[in-house]
Amino acid sequence: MWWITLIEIAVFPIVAILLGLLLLGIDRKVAARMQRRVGPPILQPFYDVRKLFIKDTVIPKKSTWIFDFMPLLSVVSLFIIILYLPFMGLSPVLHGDMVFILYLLILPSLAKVLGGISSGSPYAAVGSQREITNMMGYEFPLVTIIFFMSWKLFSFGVAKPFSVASFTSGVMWAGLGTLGIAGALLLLFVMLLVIAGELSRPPFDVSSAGEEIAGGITAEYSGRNLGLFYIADALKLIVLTTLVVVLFFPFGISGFLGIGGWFALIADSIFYFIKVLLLMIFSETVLKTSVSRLKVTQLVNAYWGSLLMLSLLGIFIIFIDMVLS
Amino acid sequence: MRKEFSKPMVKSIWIFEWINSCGFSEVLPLDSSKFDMERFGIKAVSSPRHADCLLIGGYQTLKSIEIAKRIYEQMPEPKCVIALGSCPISGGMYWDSYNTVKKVDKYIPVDLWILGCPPRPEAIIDGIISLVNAINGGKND
Ligand code: SF4
Repeated sequence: MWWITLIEIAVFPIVAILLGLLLLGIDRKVAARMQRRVGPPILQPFYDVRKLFIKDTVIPKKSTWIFDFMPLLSVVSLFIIILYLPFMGLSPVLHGDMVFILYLLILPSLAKVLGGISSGSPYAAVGSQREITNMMGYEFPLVTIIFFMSWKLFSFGVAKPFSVASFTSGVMWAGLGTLGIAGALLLLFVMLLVIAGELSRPPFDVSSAGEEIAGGITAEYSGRNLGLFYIADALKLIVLTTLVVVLFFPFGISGFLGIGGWFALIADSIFYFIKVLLLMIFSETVLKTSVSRLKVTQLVNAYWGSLLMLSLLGIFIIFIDMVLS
Repeated sequence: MRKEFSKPMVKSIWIFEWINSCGFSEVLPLDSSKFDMERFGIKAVSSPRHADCLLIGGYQTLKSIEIAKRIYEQMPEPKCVIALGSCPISGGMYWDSYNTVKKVDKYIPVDLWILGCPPRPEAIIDGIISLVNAINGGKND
């Protein structure tokens, strides 16, 4: 029905922003509790965004129109990705394929990089270069995992091995023995670190290193533009955790509990929220509080060396398992 | 023309720290788990463009005050300045040096002085919050 699609297109981005900001708040609260602090109120990100939209927006003299346009572009591109993913455990609004989503996922980071370069500040320029290094790093393990899963779909004889709809059938765990499950868990671990890298969170936050390069990419952003980047971060968190949910845990709970109708919808969205929350806590909060920032060279080594090898090892283990059984 | 702080800003104050000499020991406890300024929404940021409040700690030399002025000019409105400790007020124990700025107020409009050498962390947190509350709406508490 076309009007349901229209409503979903209008409502999903707003719900995603609210959910993302709430998750960021929970993240800060849990991190504070892990450090034995009281921590900010859970609604703190909402207060921050509200304040940023009230403050003056400074636009440097040397910047170009790109500077002012990029925050908007990063938010809008994330809106589009959300429509292609099964957000809140519902079926996706638009039907696309995984490679397209991979391309779209580059846009928000690229927007930040372009904004940083065009701001005319040397700190932002250094931050942008570092972010490009970071982007080249995390794409590799991510693409490896996604292509492995399409290969698996292909070997099962699925007609469209790259469409998001075929990924949501839970193909990762299909036909695996104990050994294979260990391999899949290895891939999940790599994926959690990839999330931290995409979000430029510790230990991969070289591009926004506060102590070295004064806030890095966003050094010249203020007011409304900074608020938009804040929102883009929240949306990116939602998008990436949803992507992991699609790849690894696409199961709903309503079929399992045997309920239907509106209750199924509510149960599924609550279950989705729990999954996203747990993924965020393991991929961000625990990392943030327990490790410190890598250097740029170490970061490349980590992605192209350790993490890539780990994902190949995981794939290899799954191969052996599939051959044996 | 000075823009006034409005109600939403009271709950989220981002501070930029400009600190010399032992001023660092004045602001470091604010981040610790004992005093934890984040519970009031106060956060230290690393770019003046993000900041609402400039903390000047430690004694200022004739050179460093120029940089403090530039930082102040780079901050977007509405903004405020807080001076920590006795050094910015009178030069503190460096009062007879040729190079010390005796009164920061002559260079930057300071909104609040917090006394002590060094001031207690509780006093700093309380100062930031009550200052922002006082500027809010232009009425004095
Ligand atoms: S006020 Fe006291 S503690 Fe602070 S910078 Fe001056 S001498 Fe150091």
